[in-house]
Amino acid sequence: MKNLNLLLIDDELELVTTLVERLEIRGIQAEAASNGRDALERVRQGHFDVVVADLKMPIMSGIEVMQTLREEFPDIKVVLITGHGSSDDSSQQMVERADGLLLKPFSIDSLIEKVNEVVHLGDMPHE
Amino acid sequence: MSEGPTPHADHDALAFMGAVTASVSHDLSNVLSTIDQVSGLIEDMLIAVERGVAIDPARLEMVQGRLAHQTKRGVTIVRKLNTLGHTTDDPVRQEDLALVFSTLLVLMERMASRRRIQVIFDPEQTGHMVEANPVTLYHLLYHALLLVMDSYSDGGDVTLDLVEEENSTSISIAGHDLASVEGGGDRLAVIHVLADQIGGKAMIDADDPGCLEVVLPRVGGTQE
Repeated sequence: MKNLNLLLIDDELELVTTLVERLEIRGIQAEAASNGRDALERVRQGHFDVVVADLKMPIMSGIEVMQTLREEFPDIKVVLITGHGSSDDSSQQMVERADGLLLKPFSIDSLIEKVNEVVHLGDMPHE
Repeated sequence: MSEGPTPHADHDALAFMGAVTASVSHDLSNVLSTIDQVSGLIEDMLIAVERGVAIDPARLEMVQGRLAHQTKRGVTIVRKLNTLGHTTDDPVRQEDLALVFSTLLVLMERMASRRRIQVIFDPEQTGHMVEANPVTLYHLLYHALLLVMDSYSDGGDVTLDLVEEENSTSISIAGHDLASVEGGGDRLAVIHVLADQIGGKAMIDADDPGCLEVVLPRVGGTQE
C-alpha cells in the first residue's frame, strides 16, 4: 500500500486536500485534484495506481473520468465516490463498472481498505 | 392575475421544494464530511504530538481555518433552508427581493457550480418589496434563475439586477441565448404561470435574447 500512488478527485477541495494529508501521515502517496480535467492531465504526466473520484463534479463526472481512464490507462484502478440516492438507474450501470465504490461520508480507514481491495482484485479484464 | 393554481401547481411547488432540499442535502453532506475529515486530521496531529513530533503552528492554523470555513458554510445553508421552510407560514406577505435572491443563491449554489455558473448579484440592492404568496415567489424566481443558468452549455456569468419602476420592480436575469435551452418553451410557460399568479409578467428581453425579465408589482405602487 505504501508504494502506491493515489489521485483523489472531488470538487470539494478542502475535503480532498484533508484526505490527502491524512493519507500522507499514514505514509501513502496521494495527490488532490478538484476536477476531472485537471486530474486527467496529472495522470498523463505522472504515475498513479488508483484514482478515487467523486461521481458528481462540474466539468467531468466521475463516470466520464473513469471512461477516459479505461481507454487511456486501463491498468489504473478506479474507485467512485457516491452519495445516497445520487445516481439514477441509467448511470447506476456505469457506476457498477468501477473497481470499487465508496459511499459518502466515509472514514479514512474505509478509504484505505477500499484502495487495498481494488489493488488486490487481480488482473480481471474490464468489460 | 390567475385566480387559482394550475392543475399541477401543488405538485410543481412540492417538486421545487424537493429539488432544492435534495441539492442542499448534498451540500450539507459535503460540509459534514469535510468537518469529519478535518476532525480526523486534528486527531492524527495529536497522535503525532504524543509521539514527540512537533506541529507547525501555521499548519494548525490552516486546519482550523478549514473547520471555521465549513462550519460557517453549514450555518449559512441551514439558515437559508430555514428561511425557505418558513415561506409556507403566510399565504401572502411582503418580501424583499434582495433577501429572496440571497436565500435562493445559497440554496442553488450546487446547481450553479455543477453548471460552472457564477451569479453576479449585489445583495445590497435591498428595499425592492413585493407582496405575494412567498412559496409562489420563491418558486418563480428559482425557475427563472435555473432557466438562465441552463442557457450556458459550458459555464458562464449570470447577472442579476433589480430596477425600480413606477409601479413595479423589474428583475433582469442575463445569461446566454435562452432560445437554446432544451425544453425552454415549456419552462418559460411555467414561469409565465407563476408570474401571473402574483400579478406579474415574464418575458425575454426583445433586445437581448439572453436576458429574462420578470416584472412584479411593487409594494406602494399603483396597480394598473
